[in-house]
Amino acid sequence: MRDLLALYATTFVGVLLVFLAWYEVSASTRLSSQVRWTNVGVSGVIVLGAGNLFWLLRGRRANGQLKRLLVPLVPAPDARLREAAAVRLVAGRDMTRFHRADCALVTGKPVTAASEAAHHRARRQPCGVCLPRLEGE
Amino acid sequence: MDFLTLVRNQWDRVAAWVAIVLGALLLLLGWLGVSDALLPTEQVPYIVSGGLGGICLIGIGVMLWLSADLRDEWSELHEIARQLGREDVTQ
Repeated sequence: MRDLLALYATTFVGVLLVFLAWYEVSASTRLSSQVRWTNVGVSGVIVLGAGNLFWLLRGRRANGQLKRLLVPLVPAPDARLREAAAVRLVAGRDMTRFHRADCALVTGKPVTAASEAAHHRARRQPCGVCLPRLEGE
Repeated sequence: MDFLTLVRNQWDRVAAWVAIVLGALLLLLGWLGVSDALLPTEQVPYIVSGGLGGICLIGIGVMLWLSADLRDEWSELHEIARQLGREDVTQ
């Protein structure tokens, strides 16, 4: 909650400084004064950018911490299941390539398993990362 | 999925695209304004409003998009924790 408030505050201050800079620059006809207010505007961009960056880094860190807590809790699949998953060939409905079930490129995506022939009939090429074709060779 | 459902479910990504498009438009308008102005004192307001304003909007858009990705990742992790019966770790 505190991070969210910091994000709102820095975004508000940043936008306010840019708006103020634009207002003062437009009202002035002296270049020296305009440059001074342009610096204020640049400061606003920096404040806004720093706030946004801080928010994203906090979110990334929170996800990382949660992952570190959860990984030891996930039961490891037994070797036979891993082996079976490795030879399954999967693809999504609109995908142009088929993958091994354990390929990182399909992790978390809605995919269905099918035979290699079925994938070829659907005009899908083997994935260049997990190389599912090598399985049968 | 109709447009309203998309806006409701993915409001942050929609807002991100709106901010990025508006930011790009502002940069373009700033550039056009600067191109037409002869004196530096006429050009500076366009640099501040179009340039800095556009950069701010694009920055906000990028932040919203990345924040949405992080939220999705968090939701998936929360679901895993729930299935493991360890919702307490996401508190």
